[in-house]
Amino acid sequence: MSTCVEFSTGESEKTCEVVVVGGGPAGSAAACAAARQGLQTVLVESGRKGRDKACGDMFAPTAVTLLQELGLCCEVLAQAQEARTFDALELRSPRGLLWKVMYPEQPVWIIPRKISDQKLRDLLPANVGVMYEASVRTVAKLPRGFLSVTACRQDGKAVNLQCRAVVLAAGAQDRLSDQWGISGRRLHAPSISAYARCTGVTMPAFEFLSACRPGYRWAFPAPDGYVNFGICALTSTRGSRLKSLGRDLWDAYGISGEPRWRGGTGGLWSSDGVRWHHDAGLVSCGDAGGLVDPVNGEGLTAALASGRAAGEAAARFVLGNGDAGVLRSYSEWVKAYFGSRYAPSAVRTAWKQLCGITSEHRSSSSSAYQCAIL
Amino acid sequence: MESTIAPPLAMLRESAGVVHDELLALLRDSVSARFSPDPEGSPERIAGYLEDGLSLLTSRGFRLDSEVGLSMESFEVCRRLADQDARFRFIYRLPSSVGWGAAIGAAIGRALYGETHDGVRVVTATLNAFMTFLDGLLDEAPDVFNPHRESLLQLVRDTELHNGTRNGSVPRDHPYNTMCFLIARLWIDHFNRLSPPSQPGGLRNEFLCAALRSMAVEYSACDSRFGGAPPSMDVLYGRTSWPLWTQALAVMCQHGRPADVDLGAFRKLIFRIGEYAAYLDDVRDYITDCAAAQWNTVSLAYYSRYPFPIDGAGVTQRQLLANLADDAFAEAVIQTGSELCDSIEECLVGLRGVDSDSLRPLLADLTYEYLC
Repeated sequence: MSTCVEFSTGESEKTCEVVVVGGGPAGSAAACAAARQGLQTVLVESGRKGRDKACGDMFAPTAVTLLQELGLCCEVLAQAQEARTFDALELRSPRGLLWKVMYPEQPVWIIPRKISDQKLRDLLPANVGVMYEASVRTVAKLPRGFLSVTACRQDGKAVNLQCRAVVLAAGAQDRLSDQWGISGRRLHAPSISAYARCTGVTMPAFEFLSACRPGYRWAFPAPDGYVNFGICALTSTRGSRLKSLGRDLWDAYGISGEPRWRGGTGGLWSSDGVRWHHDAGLVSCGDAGGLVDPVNGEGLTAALASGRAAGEAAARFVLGNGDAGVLRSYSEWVKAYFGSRYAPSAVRTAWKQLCGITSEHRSSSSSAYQCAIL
Repeated sequence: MESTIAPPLAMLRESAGVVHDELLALLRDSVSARFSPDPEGSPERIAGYLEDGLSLLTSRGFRLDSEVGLSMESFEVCRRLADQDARFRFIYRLPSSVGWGAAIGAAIGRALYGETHDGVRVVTATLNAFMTFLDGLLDEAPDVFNPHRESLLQLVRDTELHNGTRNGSVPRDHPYNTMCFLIARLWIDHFNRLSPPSQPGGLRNEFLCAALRSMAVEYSACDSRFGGAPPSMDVLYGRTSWPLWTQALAVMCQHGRPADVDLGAFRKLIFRIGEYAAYLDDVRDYITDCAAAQWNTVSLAYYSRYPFPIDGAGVTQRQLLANLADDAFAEAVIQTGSELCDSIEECLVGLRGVDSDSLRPLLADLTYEYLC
């Protein structure tokens, strides 16, 4: 069980071996993997405990398998009081039901991010310290192979963490991965979501929108009669446009009242990334490395897979006394693994057609518009 | 011997990808404006075809019912098998092929009769799905399907005699064989429901003969591997042209022979469209087909023009991949594409009683699908 990192009055420095920036699924997977190698690890999360996120509620069977391999699955899924399982999900369009994908052997789990993210952090090994409500501002090289991570806490005080390796997992808005040239040249995909009471949704559903190509909206049943509704645009889209589509969604399900949208941004795979490491001892993963599926916007599976690999690479780097070769191997793995995973195939072509993604759409995403409401 | 040539061949394949992309772009620039009054509309229309295909598969008209024995669960069994064995991933093409099949039926119906009929669209959709499935099985898993070649032909032949399907003719040795036969029964079943029903002789026989010919051509084409004698161009083009003509005949079975249309000229048009589609498909899949040691219309055209000794699959692969960097090859590819477009235009211009504007968006969408 992880511990909160406490700073006594006046204390402004701590030393550890690995710092993980970002406490989402990628960061937790990285911290878990590094700590399993016996390394003292600090995970820095900018949000407070139990903070919710706009998307990423669905654990597909592959993600569940990854959690199992990390040794976190049973705890995360079974103890999450608000988790629900489904053995099918629906693909819809304005024309009605298109297909029902069935998972009779390994179910799909829908868990609100505020639950799953927190459970993952709580269940990290004891040699992981978690620092909440602290934003990492800089990462700098120090002599003799050390790195200095400067974080700013809610009370305005800066704290320095000295370490040997840093994993950047702070999401698509992460600036540090840009600064260090390890962002994977990600593209930005805005999304919004909100909870509403609705009894008509009995299983997770994706709906492809002719009004928002490329993109789709989702409806994920949550406990107590609530449903998580959301819209994901897979290219640059104005916040006002997303809100307008959200209004349509509200009307389609006959929901009264004003939605309280939460915004998010996914870091989509661009195929242009070259490296996800820096020889000084940094690696990026998840959205920060632009590892989200560019066709369907699914990032949770990629976050867990790349987070684990990044944590292991960071640990090998530390245990190998700064041998940058292991970090280069990580970059090569990312390029090969995600390049292959996101390569054209029949099923991806089908998704691409449904989403209406064309080469013109994709190239226009490179001038990513930062959604105003996010 | 193979081990000594493997490294350079692998390198050749890798570098061929870049040259191939450039070739596709050149061909796209050359032909994409030919049929398109509305080039921006293709992505939207193609998404619509896929939506249509999926909804046909589930709720509208496809009728996954006990009569034929198909269900969403049986598709899902195959889909999950595809997750474990990449050879069977062609199942993911099924919704798209159903959608395209419906679109083909609708376009031909509008071109000949000014209207489309749901019953026909279901036949053309399921027939397209069947040919896609058969093509996938023959190309990717011949060992699984080959024992059933003759009995599948017999299933279609029996339709001529019985005007219906027989229940005892579906193999159960593999889910994909079962699925292939069930899809065959599905289009036969829907064909038999067309109005006027069970019309003896005439167009009905022409349709069934064309369906059998489509299957026979598909069987022959999949046997066209490097190392053996090259196939004829008629076989390679025919695997697209014959199914398209079969679909056109399905439309005519519903509405009757079009009164003011020269059927021979219309057949020629349909075959030219089929050749064009086959050609675009083969240009796009040139490297994939080379890697699979499979002749296609593009590689065969090059071989016919510049014959080289066929001395094993590896040598043929290297020769054909190396061609990609040859300017003369690129020029020939683009010239052939343009000539195929010209031949379609000639057919369209000379054909009375056919509304060519109903076919042009489909041709534009085909071009977009393969090249963009």
